[in-house]
Amino acid sequence: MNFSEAETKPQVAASFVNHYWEPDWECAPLPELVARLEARLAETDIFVRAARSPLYRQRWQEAGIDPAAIRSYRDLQRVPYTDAADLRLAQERHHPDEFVCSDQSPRFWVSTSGSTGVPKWVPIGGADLELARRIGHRLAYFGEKPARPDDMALAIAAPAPFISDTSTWPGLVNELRGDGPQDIRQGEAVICSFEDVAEGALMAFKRQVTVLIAFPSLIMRLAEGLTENAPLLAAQQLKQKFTLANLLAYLVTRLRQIRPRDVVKVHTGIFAGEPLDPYRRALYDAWGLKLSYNFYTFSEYQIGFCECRAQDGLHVWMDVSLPEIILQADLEREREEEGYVPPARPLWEASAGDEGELVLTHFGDTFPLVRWRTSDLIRVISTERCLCGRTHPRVNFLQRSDDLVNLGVIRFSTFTLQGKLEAITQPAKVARWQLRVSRRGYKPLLTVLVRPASGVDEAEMVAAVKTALAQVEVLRGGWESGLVCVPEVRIVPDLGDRLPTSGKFRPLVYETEGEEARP
Amino acid sequence: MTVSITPEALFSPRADEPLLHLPLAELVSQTEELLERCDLFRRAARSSLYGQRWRAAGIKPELLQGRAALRRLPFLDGTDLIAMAESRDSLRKALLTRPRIWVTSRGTSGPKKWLPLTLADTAHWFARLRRVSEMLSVEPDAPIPTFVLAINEPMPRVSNALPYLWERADYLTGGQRLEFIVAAMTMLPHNHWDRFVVQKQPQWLMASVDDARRLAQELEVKASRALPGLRRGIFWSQPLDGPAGARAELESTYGLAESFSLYLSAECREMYAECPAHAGLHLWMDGVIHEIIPDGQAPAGHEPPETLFVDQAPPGTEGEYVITTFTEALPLIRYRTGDRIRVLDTAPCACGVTHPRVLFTGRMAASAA
Repeated sequence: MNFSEAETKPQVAASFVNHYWEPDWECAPLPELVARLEARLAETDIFVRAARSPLYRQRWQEAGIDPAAIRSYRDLQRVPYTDAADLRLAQERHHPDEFVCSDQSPRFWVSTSGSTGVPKWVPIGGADLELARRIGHRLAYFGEKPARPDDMALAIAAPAPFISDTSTWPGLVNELRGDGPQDIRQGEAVICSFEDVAEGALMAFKRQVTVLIAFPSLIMRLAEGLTENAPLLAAQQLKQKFTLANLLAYLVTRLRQIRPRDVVKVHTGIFAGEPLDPYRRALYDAWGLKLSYNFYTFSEYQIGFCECRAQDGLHVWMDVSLPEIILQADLEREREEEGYVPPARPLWEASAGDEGELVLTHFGDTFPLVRWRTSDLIRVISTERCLCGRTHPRVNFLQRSDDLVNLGVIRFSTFTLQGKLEAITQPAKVARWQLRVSRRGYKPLLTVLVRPASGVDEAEMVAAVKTALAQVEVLRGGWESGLVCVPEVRIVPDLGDRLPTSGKFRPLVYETEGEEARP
Repeated sequence: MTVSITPEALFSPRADEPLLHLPLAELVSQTEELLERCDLFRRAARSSLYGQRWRAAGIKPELLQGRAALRRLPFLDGTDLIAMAESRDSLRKALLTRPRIWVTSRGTSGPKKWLPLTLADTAHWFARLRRVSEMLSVEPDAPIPTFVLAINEPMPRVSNALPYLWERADYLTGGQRLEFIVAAMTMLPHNHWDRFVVQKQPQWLMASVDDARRLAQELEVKASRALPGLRRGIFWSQPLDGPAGARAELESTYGLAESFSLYLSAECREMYAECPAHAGLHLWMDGVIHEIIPDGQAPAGHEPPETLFVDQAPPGTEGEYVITTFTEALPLIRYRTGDRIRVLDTAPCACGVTHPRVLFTGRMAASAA
């Protein structure tokens, strides 16, 4: 079956239009949302409480910030940015309890993955859980079609202490409280961790899975695994029990490649953890999806942004956070000019097509984020009212802006690889290197460009670099499990042409579609 | 119809306190009423897990009455549950209603067993957990908040639920005394959560016995020195008492002042715990029927073994634990758990709870299970 654009951009169905969880908030005109945001800034004590935290305290003092005087967005713009590196540094020096900004003690501590080094720990309080739950209910009305009792979902989550492990059981308890949309009845679910994907998927297949909730790369790997193993599985089944149906199934696997869509009828996918666009076409093709939605959150924030049925960007909630964007040009200048602090502009004033880093301030009770640089690059889709009726600005997530090599599920710091490359002495030292992230089809491909310190046998140098790459455990795991392509290594005589005009070294470059690593 | 719990009862603190102190005879009588009200036998007969097997044994479910009738029914065991999950058809035919979620056993003694839970089943489980959490919350000198390290297993294993339901029980019933870090042992080599735990210094440790042992090995210094604030341990998956009991070892390793044994099982959808009197685990009589196959009977392959209801078994009786549950998605009727129990007492406990007390002493030998 040919993939067509129409398959990924469903028309808004009349049957499910105008269903919202909180229409007064979700569909209020943007100027009204901004006014409410200003009103909230004028009355909140969040900044005073945040100033207790070692994450903000010292830097705010140094910047001459009086937290009690932050009463408007204009005031907030004077507050310095904070990012993951600040948090990591502060957590190395201070006891975890010092980061709790609420008078209530936290309910949970969750950890980030530690992809860029030491994991960060985030406290989540009761009020935060309730807020995330309330906003989460909105998503029940986001889709083209509501969840149905006969839906069967396969969800793949990360084990504790990651935040995704916290969702299942508290969610069920909320249902028991009678909380949440009463006009939507949830179906059945098999929820499994990364470690149990094969078993979980098998069970979900037996239960006729119709909805997928996972990283897109994992779901595509699952599809590949099914195609690879279908002949073997069919042969085993036939050997165990000789029936006409099993014989037919076996013969079919000999004649053509089996894809998941041949076995189950999955209509919807909700995908998180990495940008969906590179995978979308392949997912539709392999699984026969009718609808797919991109979802975004992170441990420090806990609130989810999602694509609505219009599938024209993810709605960024303006009522629970204050989103800003640092434009690409300013990010470039920051990279090139020591000490330059790039300005951020409010997302609601951005233009469609603007690209840059998302900065969030939110009203979290226990661990408020204040001008938090997410390191996620976004493209602004629109600040106009969406086809779905919601008014909160829409963005798409592109890639990372920091030193994190983001290959979807597989992530590691450039510093990790730098250590390995610098350890190479034979056949020659590495004089200069650069990582280029592109895709082969939908799958991430890492290309390492290397300039040796002296003239060497290229094959030997490539082998040495490949050995170094294999020492990055998470990367090796990624290509061994088929989640990413096997990295490529190219020996280049000069990397000078790949440097920006400032000449400042950029170790990591994400190639846009169509641009390839030049030999 | 199954056991139903109102939201008020579910989220009211100590809502089922009166049930804990009813005389045993009254608890048995309530079970009889429940059997009738739930029409358990006829309902279960609709499942392929029972229908054909019962017919083959000449059993007419409509004629079965009272818990004494259970003794006429064939046993079920883990192999039946594994076979049930083998195909789409077998699953469909076994289920009485569409579940909300699936959980599995740990799979330490063979393939994992998949068990379905409806929302009502989850409510029952939450109520049990709330009961246990309330029973163990009596610790007068505990700091507020008490910091809990809970080592769970990833979804869909049943222990995944424990800390989250415990936290919700604490939060929603007004306790709000606990603060959790939940972590899986499989993540320890990747994100070294033990370092954070050492910084935070928990007062309680909840873990399977295996995971508690593994954590102690992974810590850079002796566990009792690394985590000197630990006072209390709640452990499951292996016995704390008896010849192979881990209580003394874990209390010494972690320097615990007190430890509690917890029985957690995906199949049973139940949770039993020691009370502060430390005189065995209370088997909840409401919502479950407990039998024991006393040791010393004919080996498998001969006549089915005789059982005793646990509440009628003399103290000291040892044997295999058999349960009958009222689960909505898939009730288990006379399920041989493969776990060994020793009946300690059926008289009221020093803590005032009247539900019988047993010790779980390990797994049955493979031949017997």
